[in-house]
Amino acid sequence: MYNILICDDEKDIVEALAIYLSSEGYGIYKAYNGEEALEVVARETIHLVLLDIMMPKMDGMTAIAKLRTMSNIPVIMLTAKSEDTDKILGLNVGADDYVTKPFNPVELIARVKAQLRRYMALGSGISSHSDDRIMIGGVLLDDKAKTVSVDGEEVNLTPTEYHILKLFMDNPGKVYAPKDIYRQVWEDAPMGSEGTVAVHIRHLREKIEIDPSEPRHLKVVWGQGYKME
Amino acid sequence: MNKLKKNAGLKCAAAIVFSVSAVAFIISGILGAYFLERGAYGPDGRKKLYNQCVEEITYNYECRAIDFFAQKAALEINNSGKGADELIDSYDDMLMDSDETNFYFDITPTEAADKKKYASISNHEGMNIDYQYSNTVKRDVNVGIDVAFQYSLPLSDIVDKCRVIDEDYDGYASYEDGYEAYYSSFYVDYESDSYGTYEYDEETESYDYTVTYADTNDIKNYVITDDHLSYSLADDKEFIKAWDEFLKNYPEFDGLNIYVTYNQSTGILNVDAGISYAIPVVINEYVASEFTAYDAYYYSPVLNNYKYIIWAMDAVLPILIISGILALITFIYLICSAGHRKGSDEITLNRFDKIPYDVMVLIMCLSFYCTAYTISLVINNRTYWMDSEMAVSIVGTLAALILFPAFVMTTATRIKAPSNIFSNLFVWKLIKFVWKTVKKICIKIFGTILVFCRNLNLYWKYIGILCIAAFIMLLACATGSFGVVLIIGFIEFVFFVFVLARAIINMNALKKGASELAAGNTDYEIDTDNMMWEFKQHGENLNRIKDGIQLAVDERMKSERMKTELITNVSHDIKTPLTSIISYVDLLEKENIDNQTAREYLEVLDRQSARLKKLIQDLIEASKASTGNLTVNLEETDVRVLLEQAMGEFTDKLDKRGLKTIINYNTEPLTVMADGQHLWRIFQNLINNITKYAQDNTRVYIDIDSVACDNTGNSDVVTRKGMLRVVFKNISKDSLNVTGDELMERFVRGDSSRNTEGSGLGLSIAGSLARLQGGNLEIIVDGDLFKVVLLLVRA
Repeated sequence: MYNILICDDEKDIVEALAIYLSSEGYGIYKAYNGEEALEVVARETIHLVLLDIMMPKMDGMTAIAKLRTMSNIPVIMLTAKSEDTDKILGLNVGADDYVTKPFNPVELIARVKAQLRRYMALGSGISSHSDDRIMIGGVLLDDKAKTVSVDGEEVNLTPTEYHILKLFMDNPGKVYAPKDIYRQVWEDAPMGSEGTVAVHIRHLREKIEIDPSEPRHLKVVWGQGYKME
Repeated sequence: MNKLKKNAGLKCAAAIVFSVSAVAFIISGILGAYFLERGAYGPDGRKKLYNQCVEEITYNYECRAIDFFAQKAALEINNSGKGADELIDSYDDMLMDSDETNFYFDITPTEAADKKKYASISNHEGMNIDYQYSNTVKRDVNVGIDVAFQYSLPLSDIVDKCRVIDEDYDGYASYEDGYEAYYSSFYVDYESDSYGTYEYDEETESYDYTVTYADTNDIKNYVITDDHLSYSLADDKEFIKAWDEFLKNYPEFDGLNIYVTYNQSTGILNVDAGISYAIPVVINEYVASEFTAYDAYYYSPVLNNYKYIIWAMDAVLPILIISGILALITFIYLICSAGHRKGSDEITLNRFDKIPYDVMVLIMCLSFYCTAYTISLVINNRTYWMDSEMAVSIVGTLAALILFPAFVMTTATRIKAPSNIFSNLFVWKLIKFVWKTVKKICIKIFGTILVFCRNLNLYWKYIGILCIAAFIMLLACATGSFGVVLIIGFIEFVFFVFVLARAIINMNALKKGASELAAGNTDYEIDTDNMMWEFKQHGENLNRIKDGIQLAVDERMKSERMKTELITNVSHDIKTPLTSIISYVDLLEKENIDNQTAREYLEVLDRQSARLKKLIQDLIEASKASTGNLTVNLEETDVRVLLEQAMGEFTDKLDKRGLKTIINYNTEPLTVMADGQHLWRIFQNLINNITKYAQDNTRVYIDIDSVACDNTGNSDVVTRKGMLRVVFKNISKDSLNVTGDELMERFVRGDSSRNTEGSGLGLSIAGSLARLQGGNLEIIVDGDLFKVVLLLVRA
């Protein structure tokens, strides 16, 4: 059983999250500001922290920075600010993931699970990359078994989707234009039918992303193509 | 050392010592020079000095010789012989009063009530000394005698001559040497016992017997005359006649004057007598005996003085040396300590140092002049009387004594603090004041004229300039010289060309400024510094308009920004309770509620809270987009790729509604300068609208072509590469009762779609984002045809 610390100055939210997570079988600790959160982390065995950013006494950013000096447990930010700069700042100070308020409870639980899996089961990058197994940011592609798992949970892909994903994972960070993808995956000249690529990628995203409209793994570079990160 | 410099008491003492020793030094120096010059320090020096003293002092007292004549006369008058010493004293006092070497006195006999006769002697200043003379005078002569002396001889000679005359009874004595060039003479005719004076008239070349006298009485006067006397004696009868005539004409003739003149440069004494109008008196005898009293009287003070002179001669040298050393030491000390004051290490100026230096110098010069004058008086032995002139000179001397050390010190101080020396000059200040005043007046006069000209209407300026030009031309013509006319004409031509050029330059600058203003560039400021007249005014007005516009724009920007901030902040605050609502609605749904109605209600809650969430997110985005409060990273973006990606995202939704998308690419290349993320938002919103509001099972057209116009659709202004136009066309499922522009407004949707999901901000956001990227978005509603025209900047 994993212990999760929920920290938010809004008690109702903490309660709601506690209900959701305890129903999933996690042990729950509650804190209402950054200082309390740090105390709890120091005192108890905590496996994951859900941390609000705007809190009295000590805000989330400071709390994360201090937390990171004692532990490397996963931290998910809860933030009302949807600006990119806030997200980037949070990730930079050491958060592992973020959820913007108002959040979808299902999505939140999915993210909690994913972070815990990555932290507990996969650990610090065991066999992250070999000839047959490619691991990028929680997405594991086993070329031998032709299987793909995201945060330790296996997903079913069609052969086309698998090929597209493999193309991306072979060259992480590279931006592929739809026609390049078509040429490499379909092994055919793209005669105006590269439009289908976008549809396939859309489906692929739906399978490997928790929130397909805001992808973490397979990102859309609008007007240029797609890339894996 | 510093302590010494700052001791005020010491300074004061030093100043006094300096003053005194300097004076002592100067005086002893002068005396020393005086003695040296007279060889007093050489062999037989003292004897020489003595002789010189006697000589000089004798000359200085020359007046007293005359005193003796008068005295002698008085003594003779006063036959009783009494009061000789008194007389000497009184004469002494009287004569001392006049420092002129030219004086005269009257001897006037008066008759008292007791029938005794008195002689009154007076000088010009009205001092009277009366003395008695007895009735025992042998002869009472009632006729005035004119006696004239004319000497051109040293004093001692007079004495000698008098004696000679005394002995030489025949009365004829002539003096040729030193004889003055006027022929006033005195004669005595012993045979007729008459004597008188005559004068030679150069015009008539004749002798003018102005005075004649004859008396048969035995007058035993011994007089001095010249060689002309013998000549005139021949006509003495005439002379007597003339004298009688004279007396007839001047019955009031009544006295005797004795004039004495001493010529200092030649050392010659002149004595002469004249007629005055007083009661006649008889002088029995003139100089008839030796001047014994003379020696006794005159040489004693000389000898007295000599005592002091000898003392001074011995004292001069040590005084000179001691006072010199003292003066030098105190002088150096004063110079060194000048400007130092207790409690300060800086050179400090006192009140004295603030007096203009030239005024100081002037005062010093004056006081030195007084000193010099006083010294000269002392040397000339003028210590015996005080008059106003001398008083001034003594006050000046005292001032010099006091001021000189102060002057030395202030000079030293000023040199130590040199900034003070020239600036603090009265002359300098005066010049400065005069210059300032003159400048002020000039500025006032010319300033008034300038202001007058400036405020003239442009027409009047124009007329004025033309008139002046014409007037100058007229003047040039008046000279009648063609050359002058030509030159003046040329100068005027150059002037007008210059003015015209300036006007054109100014006009151009104004035009540019106005164009910039019209284009909305509120940062452009017209440089009015070098403009002239009304152009400047106009430029300044334009600048003011610009400032006003800028202010208005800034104000608007500020208020927009504040609005955005408000919306963002409020939205953030709404988000937190909304999170709770969504969470608890979800939790409620998970509860096993059997009541069907309750479940329906929960569904409504779920739907509406989701809508609220979307609404808030869109609201933030719309406010940011409309105020430009977003970062835009423009880069080359392929519209075809973007469109494919977008279609990929929406394929499922479109298919569900049976919408068929037809994309027509009518141009190449399809790259635009845009921010991919923002462009996607535009496409997303537009296609999302299509999936929501298009008639099911219809075709959706997306046409892409390029147009030559700017982002406002104005084809007059063409951007370099033109714009890329993306037109979305679809058939609306409901009839649209609003215009395209109204749809672009925030929170506006077609009425019939009010109750559907969506915030109504989609088109507004898309429009704002398009404009942020230099493009534009326009909505055209044509019946059921809903058309969106998106313009993008081509790369």
